[in-house]
Amino acid sequence: MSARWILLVLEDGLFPDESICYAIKFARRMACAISVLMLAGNTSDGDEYHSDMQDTMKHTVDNIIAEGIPAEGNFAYGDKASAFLKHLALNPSLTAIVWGGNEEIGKVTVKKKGDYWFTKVKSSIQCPVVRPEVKDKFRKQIKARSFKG
Amino acid sequence: MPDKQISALVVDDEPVAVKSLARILAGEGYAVKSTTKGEKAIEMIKAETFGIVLTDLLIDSVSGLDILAAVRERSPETEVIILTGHASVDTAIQATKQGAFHYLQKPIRPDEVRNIVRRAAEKLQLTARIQELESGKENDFPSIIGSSVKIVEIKKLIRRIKDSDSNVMITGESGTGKELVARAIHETSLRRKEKFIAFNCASFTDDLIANELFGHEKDAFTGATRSKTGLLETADKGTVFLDEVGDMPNAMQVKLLRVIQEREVMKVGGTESIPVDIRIVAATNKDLKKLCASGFFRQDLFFRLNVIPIHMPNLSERREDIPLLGSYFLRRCAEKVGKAINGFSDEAIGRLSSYGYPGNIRELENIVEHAVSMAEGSMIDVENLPKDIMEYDLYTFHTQEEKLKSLGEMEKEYIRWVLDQVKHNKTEAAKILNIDRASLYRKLKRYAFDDE
Repeated sequence: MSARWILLVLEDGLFPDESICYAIKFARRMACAISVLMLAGNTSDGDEYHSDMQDTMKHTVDNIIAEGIPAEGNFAYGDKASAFLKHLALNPSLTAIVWGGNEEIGKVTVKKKGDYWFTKVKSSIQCPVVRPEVKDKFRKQIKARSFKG
Repeated sequence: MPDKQISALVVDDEPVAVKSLARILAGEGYAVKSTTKGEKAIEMIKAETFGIVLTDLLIDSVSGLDILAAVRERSPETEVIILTGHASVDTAIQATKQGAFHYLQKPIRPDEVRNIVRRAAEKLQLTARIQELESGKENDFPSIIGSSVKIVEIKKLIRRIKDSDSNVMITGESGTGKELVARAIHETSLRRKEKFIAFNCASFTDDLIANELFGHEKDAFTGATRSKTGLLETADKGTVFLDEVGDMPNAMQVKLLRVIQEREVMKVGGTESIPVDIRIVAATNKDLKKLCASGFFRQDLFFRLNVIPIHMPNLSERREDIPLLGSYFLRRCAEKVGKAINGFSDEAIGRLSSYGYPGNIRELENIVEHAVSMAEGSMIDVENLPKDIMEYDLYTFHTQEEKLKSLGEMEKEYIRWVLDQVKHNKTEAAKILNIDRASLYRKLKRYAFDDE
C-alpha cells in the first residue's frame, strides 16, 4: 500500500477526462496512489443505475492501474457531504484532492455556493484541492489522446 | 540594472562592434572592459574574474572557443556569450554544449543583447545566491532555500530558538519542507551533537508504533526473540522528529504524553521505566486544533507539543522563491546526470512561476528533475516541462486559505510579484503589466505599496 494518496472525487456517474488525466499525471509525478471516490446522490433510478456506475468506476480504476499508478475505487451514495467526510476520516493521509465533481469549485462564477454540499465540508479538508481545466488552445489535442475511462 | 555591478568583457576583432556592445552593456549598468585581440583577452581573463564575457567566435589566431576554455579554467561561474556570423552557427551551438551560456547571431540587435545578457546576469546572481546558501556564508540553514518574507521569518525564528529546548510543532501541507526545518532546528540547537531521529506516525498500527518508539523486551510477544531498543531511547539527549503526528492513533497519543510528562519510556512487555532526555519536534499537515475539538487528538498532548509553533507556507504563497528553488534543483539534477544546463528560458520560468503546485516544493523538484532528463540543449525550455503543467489551468485552494481573494487583492499581489521579478524596475514592470507608467504609479499609490 502506497503511503501517499491522491483523492479523486467524482459525482453522479460522471468521469471527466481532464480530472482523471490530471490525477494520473500528478500521481505519477508525486509517486502517489489514487483513491477514486464516486459520490452519488439519492436517485429514483435504483440499483441498476448504481450498478452501472460501479462497473464504470471499476473500469476506470483498472485503467488507472494499467497506467502504472496504484489505485482503488470507492462508491458511496446518499448524503454526499457525510459520505465525503467519512471517506476523509478513514483515509487521513492525502497529498491532495483532485476535483472531478459537478460544481466548478474555485471559479469565481460559481453560483449559489452556499447550497452546494462541498461548500459545507470545505473547512474540514486539510490538504490542497485542485480542479484542473484544460486550456482552450490545448482542448483539441488533449481530446485526441483522452483517457478512456 | 543588476543589483551589484557585474563586470563584463567584450572581445571582438571589429572595433566598431566592440564599441557598440560596450556602450549597450555600460548603459545597462555593467562595468565593461573590452579588447579586439584574442591573446589580450586571455591575459585579461587570467588576471581578473569577469561575470560575463561576450566573445566573437572568430577573432584572430585565438578563437571564441579558446576564450571559452580559458574562462572555464579560470572561473567556471563566468557566463560566456558567443557572437557569431551565420556561417558559424553550428560551432556556436557546439560552444553552448561546451558550457557557453548562449550565442548571438550577427548582426547584433541591441534588444537581443540586453535580453541575453540580462538572463546571464540573472543566472549569475542565482548561482551566487545558491552558493551563498550552500556554503552557509549568509545562511545558517543551507537546506532551507528561499528569500521570501515568510521563509526569512522562519529562519529568524529558528535562530531565535536555538538556545531553547522547548518542543516545536511544524504545520504545513505535504511537500512544504517540514522535515528540513526540523533538521535545521536540531542542527542549531544545543542538542546538535546528538542524534536526530525521524519517525512517521502515519500508516502504522498502534503495536508497530509502540514497538518502534518504545522498543520491546525479549518474549514480549510471539516472535520477540530478543529485546529491542526503541527510537525514543536511542535518541536520548537528541531530537525526535515525529512526522504526521496528527495521524497518530489515540492510544499512542496517551503513551507519548506520558513520555513528555514523565521523561521516561517503558518498553513493550517491560516493567522498568528508562529515563530519556529528548526534545520533540512534531509535524503535521492537519489542523490539530480542529482535531482536538472533534476529539481525534488529545488537547493536553497538543499543548505539550505546540510550545513553539512554526507554519510552513505553501509554495504558491511564496512564488518569489520559485526561480531560486528551481535553479537550485536544476543545478543539483544536472550535476547528478552530468548535463551542462545553464538555466531556464524566460517562458519556462514564467510557466513554472505561475503553476499551482498542489504538491508544493516536492512537486517543483520532480518537475525540474523531469525537465532536466528531457532537455537536450543548454537551457530548460517549456517543451521540456511536463505537458500537463502547460495544458491545464488549475483552480487550487489550499487548507490555510481563509477566504477567496478579491480582484483588487489579486491585482495587488500580482503587481507586487511582477515588481519583485524585475527588481522594482517600474518601467519594466509597467511593460509586463501592459499598462503605462502613470497607471502603475496610480495603482502603487492606491494599494499603498510605499507604506509597506
